[in-house]
Amino acid sequence: MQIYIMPDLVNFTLQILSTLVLFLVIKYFAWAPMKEFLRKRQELVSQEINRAEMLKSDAIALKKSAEAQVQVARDEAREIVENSKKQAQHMHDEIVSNARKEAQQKLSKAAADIEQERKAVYSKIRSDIVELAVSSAEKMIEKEIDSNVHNELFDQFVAKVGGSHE
Amino acid sequence: MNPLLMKFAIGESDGSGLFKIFQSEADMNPIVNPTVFNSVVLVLVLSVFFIICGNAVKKADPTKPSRGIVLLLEMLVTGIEGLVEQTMGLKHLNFAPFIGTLAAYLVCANLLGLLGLSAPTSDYNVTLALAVITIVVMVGSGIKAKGIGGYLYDTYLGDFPFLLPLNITGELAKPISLSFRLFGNILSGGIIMSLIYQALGWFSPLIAPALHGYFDVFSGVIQTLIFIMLTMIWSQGAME
Amino acid sequence: MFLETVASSISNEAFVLGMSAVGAGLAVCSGIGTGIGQGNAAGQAAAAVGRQPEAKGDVMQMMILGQAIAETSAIYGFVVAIILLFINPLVSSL
Repeated sequence: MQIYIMPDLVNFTLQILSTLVLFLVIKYFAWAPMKEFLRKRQELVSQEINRAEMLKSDAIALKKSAEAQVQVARDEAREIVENSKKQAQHMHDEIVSNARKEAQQKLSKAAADIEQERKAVYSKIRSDIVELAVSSAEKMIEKEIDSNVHNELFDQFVAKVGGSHE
Repeated sequence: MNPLLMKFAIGESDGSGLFKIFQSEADMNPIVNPTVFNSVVLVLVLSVFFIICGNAVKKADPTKPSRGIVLLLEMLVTGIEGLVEQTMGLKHLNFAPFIGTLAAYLVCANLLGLLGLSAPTSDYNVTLALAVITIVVMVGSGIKAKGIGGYLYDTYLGDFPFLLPLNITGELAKPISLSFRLFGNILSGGIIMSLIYQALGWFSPLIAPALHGYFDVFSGVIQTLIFIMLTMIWSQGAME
Repeated sequence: MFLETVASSISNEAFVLGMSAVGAGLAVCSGIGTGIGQGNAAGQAAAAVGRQPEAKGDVMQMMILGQAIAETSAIYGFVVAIILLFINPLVSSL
């Protein structure tokens, strides 16, 4: 194994020159493009981040407006439902009260009719009885009136008629 | 180890043991050491590789996750920049290409021992050249940051002028310790590995992989880390 | 008597080479202190991780960096040994 421990000018200079060549090559042909590449990537990344940030804020705004719209729609729907419920209740009440009123009216009218009919019938019967009594009295007067016998008859008759009408 | 490769990259190994004297000038027949030759080849390969990487990066689409060599380069760049930022602070990020060059070159050079070639960093020419470059960068950045008078005053006199001899020794020791640390670590690994191969013979493939893992991979990566850490710390110290 | 014959039969260069080898061995002894120091650092790091397990990465990095710098003295000894063995500066000064 050869050991090179004594420096000599040729080898030393050669090594310095080759190291400098390597340094220049690396600096200008590899390091600079790589830095450029990394800078470009950094720019792209920050651009992407900015865009994502913008998109995110847009999305948040959109979501907010959509939520507000949904809220408005929900409120409206509730209002509509309440209104219609109220209206329906109103209508229902009205109908029911109308019906009740009408029924009341009809009932009272019917009662009045019945009363009137009854009154008419009574008065008619009374007049009929009076007429009958008058005519029978006339007939009895035409013959002789045995007051004992005929009085009894009278009473019976009147009681019969009145009992059936009471 | 492939004997042809060994002859080509390491030099003749005639089995005369470690005590062979490589003293005479005639023995060093080629002017360029095989280790430095390996280093130059490595630099060329790395240059081509990084140019290909750079072209791939230029064509790559930043919107997609990178893959292949683009990912490799991205990991290198981001890793080195993170290390520089952590050690030297954000304002000295312009050191990153230099540190990255040192890291890429040293890792590949230290791992060259795995291929059966002699690692370029086991040649003192190579490590001394790297240490000299580092020291020049350090002194240069210090002078650029504080002016020549300010740099000399801060480094050698500072708050305690009577420490001047110590400071001079310390500054002189920096390139020496930086170069010898790397050189000694890698060379000792190489020597131990070649001794293992010589001693164990046919038995060596059972033992050698674990030792390669320690001496080449672990030691190489750690020494690379230490080299670039010391470069960064010293440069930052020179600038402050 | 025996030593005299040995001393007269040995050449100067061989003696310097042998002594260089001895010196190289002694130089490598600088690894002892490094070993103790690195072991100490590893033990302290283990204790630190035990006290504060969440700082494991920082402790690890600090430990490896400190150990690598502490290794410098061993490396110096190794380099001196290598120089003594392979460069043989003493032989050329005979």
